[in-house]
Amino acid sequence: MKRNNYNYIIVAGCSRFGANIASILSAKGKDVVVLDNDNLAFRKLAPEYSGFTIQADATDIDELTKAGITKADVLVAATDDDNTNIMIAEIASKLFNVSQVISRLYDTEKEIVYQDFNIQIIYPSRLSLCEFEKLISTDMLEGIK
Amino acid sequence: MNIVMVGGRKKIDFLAKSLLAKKHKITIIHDDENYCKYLARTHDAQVICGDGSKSYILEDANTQGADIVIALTPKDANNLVICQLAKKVFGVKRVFATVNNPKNVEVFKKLGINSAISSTHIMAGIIEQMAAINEIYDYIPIEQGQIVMMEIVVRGNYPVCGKTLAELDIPEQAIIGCIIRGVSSIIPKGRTIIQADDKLIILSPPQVQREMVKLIVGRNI
Repeated sequence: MKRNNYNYIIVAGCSRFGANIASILSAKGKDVVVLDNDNLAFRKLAPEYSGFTIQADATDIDELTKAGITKADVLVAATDDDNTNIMIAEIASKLFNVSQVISRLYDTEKEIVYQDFNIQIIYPSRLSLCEFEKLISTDMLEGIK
Repeated sequence: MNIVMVGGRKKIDFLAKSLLAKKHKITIIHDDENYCKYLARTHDAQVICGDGSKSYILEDANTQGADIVIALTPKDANNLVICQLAKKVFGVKRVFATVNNPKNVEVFKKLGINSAISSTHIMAGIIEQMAAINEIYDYIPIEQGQIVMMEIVVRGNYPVCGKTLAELDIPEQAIIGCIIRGVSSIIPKGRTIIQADDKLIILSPPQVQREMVKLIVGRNI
Protein backbone atom coordinates (compact mmCIF):
# COMPACT_ATOMS: atom_id res chain seq x y z
CA MET A 1 0.00 0.00 0.00
CA LYS A 2 1.53 3.24 -1.07
CA ARG A 3 0.16 6.61 -0.09
CA ASN A 4 1.49 9.73 -1.59
CA ASN A 5 -1.63 11.82 -1.40
CA TYR A 6 -0.79 13.36 1.97
CA ASN A 7 -0.04 17.04 1.89
CA TYR A 8 -0.44 18.60 5.29
CA ILE A 9 1.81 17.27 8.01
CA ILE A 10 2.10 18.26 11.65
CA VAL A 11 5.33 17.35 13.43
CA ALA A 12 4.96 17.57 17.21
CA GLY A 13 8.34 18.01 18.82
CA CYS A 14 11.34 19.51 17.06
CA SER A 15 13.76 16.80 18.18
CA ARG A 16 16.60 15.76 15.88
CA PHE A 17 14.18 13.16 14.51
CA GLY A 18 11.28 15.60 14.16
CA ALA A 19 13.43 18.32 12.62
CA ASN A 20 14.82 15.96 10.00
CA ILE A 21 11.40 14.65 9.03
CA ALA A 22 10.09 18.19 8.77
CA SER A 23 13.06 19.30 6.64
CA ILE A 24 12.76 16.34 4.26
CA LEU A 25 9.02 16.69 3.81
CA SER A 26 9.30 20.42 3.34
CA ALA A 27 11.97 19.87 0.65
CA LYS A 28 9.50 17.53 -1.08
CA GLY A 29 7.03 20.42 -1.30
CA LYS A 30 4.63 19.30 1.44
CA ASP A 31 2.98 21.72 3.87
CA VAL A 32 4.66 21.17 7.21
CA VAL A 33 4.02 22.65 10.64
CA VAL A 34 6.42 21.95 13.50
CA LEU A 35 5.45 22.50 17.13
CA ASP A 36 7.81 22.66 20.04
CA ASN A 37 7.74 24.16 23.51
CA ASP A 38 11.25 25.47 23.09
CA ASN A 39 11.89 28.16 20.53
CA LEU A 40 15.58 27.26 20.30
CA ALA A 41 14.73 23.73 19.13
CA PHE A 42 13.80 25.14 15.73
CA ARG A 43 17.51 25.76 15.06
CA LYS A 44 17.77 22.08 14.20
CA LEU A 45 15.62 22.57 11.09
CA ALA A 46 17.44 22.70 7.77
CA PRO A 47 18.18 26.27 6.59
CA GLU A 48 15.99 25.80 3.51
CA TYR A 49 13.01 24.61 5.59
CA SER A 50 10.02 26.56 4.33
CA GLY A 51 7.22 25.31 6.56
CA PHE A 52 5.76 26.86 9.71
CA THR A 53 7.11 26.72 13.22
CA ILE A 54 4.89 27.28 16.24
CA GLN A 55 6.16 27.60 19.77
CA ALA A 56 3.48 25.79 21.74
CA ASP A 57 2.64 22.82 23.90
CA ALA A 58 1.49 20.15 21.46
CA THR A 59 -0.53 18.32 24.13
CA ASP A 60 -2.87 21.31 24.28
CA ILE A 61 -5.90 20.75 22.05
CA ASP A 62 -6.32 24.45 21.36
CA GLU A 63 -2.74 24.76 20.14
CA LEU A 64 -3.21 21.74 17.90
CA THR A 65 -6.37 23.27 16.50
CA LYS A 66 -4.48 26.49 15.79
CA ALA A 67 -1.81 24.45 14.01
CA GLY A 68 -4.58 23.19 11.71
CA ILE A 69 -4.88 19.61 12.92
CA THR A 70 -8.40 19.33 11.56
CA LYS A 71 -7.05 19.43 8.02
CA ALA A 72 -3.85 17.47 8.67
CA ASP A 73 -3.30 14.20 6.81
CA VAL A 74 -0.38 13.05 8.92
CA LEU A 75 0.74 13.74 12.46
CA VAL A 76 4.12 12.67 13.76
CA ALA A 77 4.62 12.61 17.53
CA ALA A 78 8.37 13.13 17.73
CA THR A 79 9.13 14.64 21.13
CA ASP A 80 11.84 13.14 23.32
CA ASP A 81 9.33 12.03 25.90
CA ASP A 82 7.32 8.82 25.45
CA ASN A 83 4.39 9.91 27.56
CA THR A 84 4.06 13.19 25.72
CA ASN A 85 4.15 11.33 22.39
CA ILE A 86 1.46 8.96 23.59
CA MET A 87 -0.79 11.81 24.65
CA ILE A 88 -0.31 13.76 21.42
CA ALA A 89 -0.82 10.70 19.22
CA GLU A 90 -3.95 9.61 21.06
CA ILE A 91 -5.43 13.10 20.89
CA ALA A 92 -4.70 13.33 17.16
CA SER A 93 -6.13 9.92 16.42
CA LYS A 94 -9.16 9.85 18.69
CA LEU A 95 -10.22 13.47 19.06
CA PHE A 96 -9.28 14.84 15.66
CA ASN A 97 -9.47 11.68 13.51
CA VAL A 98 -6.18 12.37 11.75
CA SER A 99 -5.94 9.58 9.18
CA GLN A 100 -2.32 8.70 9.74
CA VAL A 101 -0.72 9.11 13.13
CA ILE A 102 2.87 8.04 13.70
CA SER A 103 4.49 8.02 17.11
CA ARG A 104 7.99 7.48 18.29
CA LEU A 105 8.17 5.23 21.32
CA TYR A 106 11.39 4.31 23.11
CA ASP A 107 9.89 2.09 25.78
CA THR A 108 8.49 -1.01 24.08
CA GLU A 109 6.60 -1.93 27.24
CA LYS A 110 4.33 1.03 26.67
CA GLU A 111 3.06 -0.10 23.27
CA ILE A 112 0.08 -1.72 24.98
CA VAL A 113 -1.53 1.67 25.61
CA TYR A 114 -1.84 2.09 21.85
CA GLN A 115 -3.70 -1.19 21.36
CA ASP A 116 -7.16 0.30 20.79
CA PHE A 117 -5.86 3.08 18.60
CA ASN A 118 -5.05 3.34 14.93
CA ILE A 119 -1.53 4.61 15.52
CA GLN A 120 1.69 3.50 13.83
CA ILE A 121 4.74 3.22 16.03
CA ILE A 122 8.43 3.71 15.41
CA TYR A 123 10.60 1.95 17.98
CA PRO A 124 14.14 3.42 18.02
CA SER A 125 15.29 0.78 20.49
CA ARG A 126 14.08 -2.07 18.27
CA LEU A 127 15.57 -0.48 15.15
CA SER A 128 18.93 -0.10 16.88
CA LEU A 129 18.76 -3.72 17.90
CA CYS A 130 18.07 -4.84 14.32
CA GLU A 131 20.94 -2.74 13.08
CA PHE A 132 23.21 -4.14 15.76
CA GLU A 133 22.34 -7.69 14.80
CA LYS A 134 23.02 -6.90 11.17
CA LEU A 135 26.45 -5.44 12.00
CA ILE A 136 27.33 -8.36 14.24
CA SER A 137 26.35 -10.94 11.65
CA THR A 138 28.26 -9.28 8.76
CA ASP A 139 31.33 -8.97 10.98
CA MET A 140 31.11 -12.66 11.73
CA LEU A 141 30.72 -13.48 8.02
CA GLU A 142 33.85 -11.46 7.28
CA GLY A 143 35.62 -13.38 9.99
CA ILE A 144 34.76 -16.64 8.23
CA LYS A 145 36.22 -15.39 4.94
CA MET B 1 -8.76 -1.05 49.84
CA ASN B 2 -5.40 -1.25 48.12
CA ILE B 3 -4.48 2.10 46.67
CA VAL B 4 -1.48 2.98 44.51
CA MET B 5 -0.56 6.66 44.28
CA VAL B 6 1.96 8.18 41.91
CA GLY B 7 3.79 11.50 42.11
CA GLY B 8 2.75 14.86 43.43
CA ARG B 9 4.24 16.48 46.50
CA LYS B 10 1.88 18.20 48.92
CA LYS B 11 -1.06 16.46 47.30
CA ILE B 12 0.28 12.96 47.87
CA ASP B 13 1.43 13.79 51.38
CA PHE B 14 -2.01 15.06 52.34
CA LEU B 15 -3.92 12.33 50.55
CA ALA B 16 -1.73 9.58 52.00
CA LYS B 17 -2.39 10.83 55.51
CA SER B 18 -6.10 11.03 54.98
CA LEU B 19 -6.36 7.60 53.31
CA LEU B 20 -4.21 5.92 55.95
CA ALA B 21 -6.42 7.39 58.64
CA LYS B 22 -9.33 5.61 56.93
CA LYS B 23 -7.41 2.31 57.16
CA HIS B 24 -6.66 1.91 53.48
CA LYS B 25 -3.51 0.13 52.40
CA ILE B 26 -1.44 2.43 50.24
CA THR B 27 1.63 2.23 48.05
CA ILE B 28 3.36 5.40 46.93
CA ILE B 29 5.48 5.81 43.81
CA HIS B 30 7.57 8.95 43.49
CA ASP B 31 10.50 9.87 41.29
CA ASP B 32 12.32 12.12 43.76
CA GLU B 33 14.54 10.05 46.03
CA ASN B 34 14.71 12.60 48.84
CA TYR B 35 10.98 13.06 48.85
CA CYS B 36 10.57 9.26 48.91
CA LYS B 37 12.67 9.17 52.06
CA TYR B 38 10.49 11.83 53.61
CA LEU B 39 7.30 9.97 52.65
CA ALA B 40 8.64 6.67 53.98
CA ARG B 41 9.53 8.36 57.26
CA THR B 42 6.20 10.10 57.66
CA HIS B 43 3.70 7.50 56.51
CA ASP B 44 3.09 3.87 57.24
CA ALA B 45 3.12 2.95 53.58
CA GLN B 46 5.26 1.18 51.05
CA VAL B 47 7.24 3.76 49.09
CA ILE B 48 8.84 3.02 45.73
CA CYS B 49 11.25 5.39 44.09
CA GLY B 50 10.94 5.53 40.31
CA ASP B 51 9.02 6.64 37.23
CA GLY B 52 5.41 5.60 37.76
CA SER B 53 4.71 5.57 34.04
CA LYS B 54 6.96 2.52 33.61
CA SER B 55 5.31 -0.90 33.74
CA TYR B 56 8.02 -2.47 35.86
CA ILE B 57 7.72 0.19 38.53
CA LEU B 58 3.96 -0.26 38.62
CA GLU B 59 4.57 -4.00 38.87
CA ASP B 60 6.91 -3.47 41.83
CA ALA B 61 4.12 -1.50 43.48
CA ASN B 62 1.82 -4.51 43.10
CA THR B 63 -0.56 -2.59 40.88
CA GLN B 64 -2.22 -5.81 39.67
CA GLY B 65 -3.74 -6.19 43.12
CA ALA B 66 -4.78 -2.56 43.49
CA ASP B 67 -8.37 -1.40 43.72
CA ILE B 68 -7.58 2.20 42.89
CA VAL B 69 -4.71 3.96 41.14
CA ILE B 70 -4.31 7.71 41.59
CA ALA B 71 -1.98 9.70 39.31
CA LEU B 72 -0.92 13.03 40.77
CA THR B 73 2.21 13.95 38.80
CA PRO B 74 2.54 17.55 37.59
CA LYS B 75 2.57 16.50 33.94
CA ASP B 76 -0.73 15.60 32.33
CA ALA B 77 0.85 13.27 29.75
CA ASN B 78 2.45 11.22 32.53
CA ASN B 79 -0.85 10.93 34.36
CA LEU B 80 -2.57 9.78 31.18
CA VAL B 81 -0.02 7.02 30.58
CA ILE B 82 -0.07 5.92 34.23
CA CYS B 83 -3.85 5.57 34.12
CA GLN B 84 -3.86 3.78 30.78
CA LEU B 85 -1.16 1.33 31.88
CA ALA B 86 -3.01 0.67 35.12
CA LYS B 87 -6.19 -0.10 33.21
CA LYS B 88 -4.80 -1.94 30.23
CA VAL B 89 -1.85 -3.84 31.69
CA PHE B 90 -2.93 -4.37 35.27
CA GLY B 91 -6.71 -4.43 34.90
CA VAL B 92 -7.30 -1.82 37.60
CA LYS B 93 -10.98 -0.85 37.58
CA ARG B 94 -10.81 2.59 39.11
CA VAL B 95 -8.21 5.14 38.13
CA PHE B 96 -8.03 8.81 39.03
CA ALA B 97 -5.84 11.53 37.57
CA THR B 98 -5.31 15.15 38.35
CA VAL B 99 -4.79 17.39 35.35
CA ASN B 100 -3.14 20.79 35.25
CA ASN B 101 -4.70 22.01 32.06
CA PRO B 102 -8.46 22.22 32.74
CA LYS B 103 -9.18 21.44 29.08
CA ASN B 104 -7.69 18.00 29.60
CA VAL B 105 -10.62 16.85 31.72
CA GLU B 106 -12.57 16.44 28.48
CA VAL B 107 -9.55 15.06 26.62
CA PHE B 108 -8.97 12.38 29.24
CA LYS B 109 -12.63 11.43 29.14
CA LYS B 110 -12.47 10.88 25.40
CA LEU B 111 -9.34 8.80 25.83
CA GLY B 112 -11.08 6.49 28.28
CA ILE B 113 -10.07 8.03 31.62
CA ASN B 114 -13.37 9.16 33.07
CA SER B 115 -12.24 10.50 36.37
CA ALA B 116 -9.83 13.32 35.65
CA ILE B 117 -9.87 16.07 38.22
CA SER B 118 -8.72 19.59 37.54
CA SER B 119 -8.08 21.58 40.67
CA THR B 120 -8.09 24.79 38.62
CA HIS B 121 -11.54 23.92 37.35
CA ILE B 122 -12.95 23.16 40.78
CA MET B 123 -11.27 26.13 42.40
CA ALA B 124 -12.48 28.56 39.76
CA GLY B 125 -16.04 27.34 40.25
CA ILE B 126 -15.89 27.71 44.02
CA ILE B 127 -14.26 31.14 43.97
CA GLU B 128 -16.74 32.38 41.38
CA GLN B 129 -19.67 31.27 43.52
CA MET B 130 -18.30 32.55 46.81
CA ALA B 131 -17.35 35.86 45.31
CA ALA B 132 -20.73 36.33 43.65
CA ILE B 133 -22.84 35.46 46.64
CA ASN B 134 -21.71 36.61 50.05
CA GLU B 135 -24.07 34.42 51.96
CA ILE B 136 -22.74 31.14 50.59
CA TYR B 137 -20.15 29.73 52.93
CA ASP B 138 -19.40 26.54 51.13
CA TYR B 139 -20.13 25.28 47.71
CA ILE B 140 -19.53 21.87 46.19
CA PRO B 141 -20.43 20.99 42.61
CA ILE B 142 -21.51 17.37 42.19
CA GLU B 143 -21.61 15.37 38.95
CA GLN B 144 -19.75 17.99 36.88
CA GLY B 145 -21.86 20.77 38.36
CA GLN B 146 -25.27 19.32 37.46
CA ILE B 147 -26.15 19.46 41.14
CA VAL B 148 -24.61 21.84 43.64
CA MET B 149 -24.42 21.62 47.38
CA MET B 150 -24.24 24.95 49.18
CA GLU B 151 -24.08 25.99 52.75
CA ILE B 152 -25.83 29.15 53.93
CA VAL B 153 -25.68 30.57 57.44
CA VAL B 154 -28.99 32.08 58.57
CA ARG B 155 -28.80 35.59 60.04
CA GLY B 156 -31.40 36.99 62.42
CA ASN B 157 -32.77 39.41 59.82
CA TYR B 158 -33.47 36.77 57.16
CA PRO B 159 -37.15 36.20 56.37
CA VAL B 160 -36.87 32.45 56.95
CA CYS B 161 -35.94 32.94 60.59
CA GLY B 162 -38.52 31.40 62.92
CA LYS B 163 -40.45 29.72 60.12
CA THR B 164 -41.00 26.01 59.64
CA LEU B 165 -39.85 24.36 56.43
CA ALA B 166 -43.47 23.68 55.48
CA GLU B 167 -44.16 27.41 55.49
CA LEU B 168 -41.40 28.11 52.99
CA ASP B 169 -42.07 28.09 49.31
CA ILE B 170 -39.12 25.90 48.41
CA PRO B 171 -38.74 25.28 44.67
CA GLU B 172 -39.66 21.81 43.44
CA GLN B 173 -36.12 20.78 42.55
CA ALA B 174 -34.34 22.03 45.67
CA ILE B 175 -34.10 20.53 49.12
CA ILE B 176 -32.73 21.62 52.47
CA GLY B 177 -31.01 18.36 53.29
CA CYS B 178 -29.55 19.16 56.65
CA ILE B 179 -29.44 21.88 59.27
CA ILE B 180 -26.30 22.30 61.36
CA ARG B 181 -27.21 23.89 64.68
CA GLY B 182 -24.23 24.34 66.98
CA VAL B 183 -22.69 20.91 67.32
CA SER B 184 -25.76 18.91 66.35
CA SER B 185 -27.00 18.20 62.88
CA ILE B 186 -30.69 17.90 62.15
CA ILE B 187 -32.30 16.18 59.20
CA PRO B 188 -35.21 18.60 58.84
CA LYS B 189 -38.87 17.66 58.51
CA GLY B 190 -41.73 19.98 57.57
CA ARG B 191 -42.20 20.99 61.21
CA THR B 192 -38.56 21.93 61.81
CA ILE B 193 -38.20 25.62 62.64
CA ILE B 194 -35.25 27.53 61.19
CA GLN B 195 -33.35 29.61 63.75
CA ALA B 196 -30.69 32.28 63.52
CA ASP B 197 -27.14 30.94 63.14
CA ASP B 198 -28.39 27.70 61.61
CA LYS B 199 -26.29 26.40 58.76
CA LEU B 200 -28.51 25.18 55.96
CA ILE B 201 -27.13 22.55 53.62
CA ILE B 202 -28.99 22.89 50.36
CA LEU B 203 -28.96 20.59 47.34
CA SER B 204 -30.24 21.92 44.05
CA PRO B 205 -29.44 22.19 40.36
CA PRO B 206 -27.58 25.45 39.61
CA GLN B 207 -30.61 26.93 37.83
CA VAL B 208 -32.69 27.21 40.99
CA GLN B 209 -29.76 28.11 43.20
CA ARG B 210 -30.41 31.84 42.95
CA GLU B 211 -34.09 31.37 43.70
CA MET B 212 -33.17 29.42 46.83
CA VAL B 213 -30.74 32.08 48.03
CA LYS B 214 -33.35 34.76 47.44
CA LEU B 215 -35.91 32.78 49.43
CA ILE B 216 -33.58 32.45 52.40
CA VAL B 217 -31.80 35.79 52.31
CA GLY B 218 -34.85 37.76 51.27
CA ARG B 219 -33.30 39.84 48.51
CA ASN B 220 -32.04 39.45 45.03
CA ILE B 221 -28.43 38.56 44.46
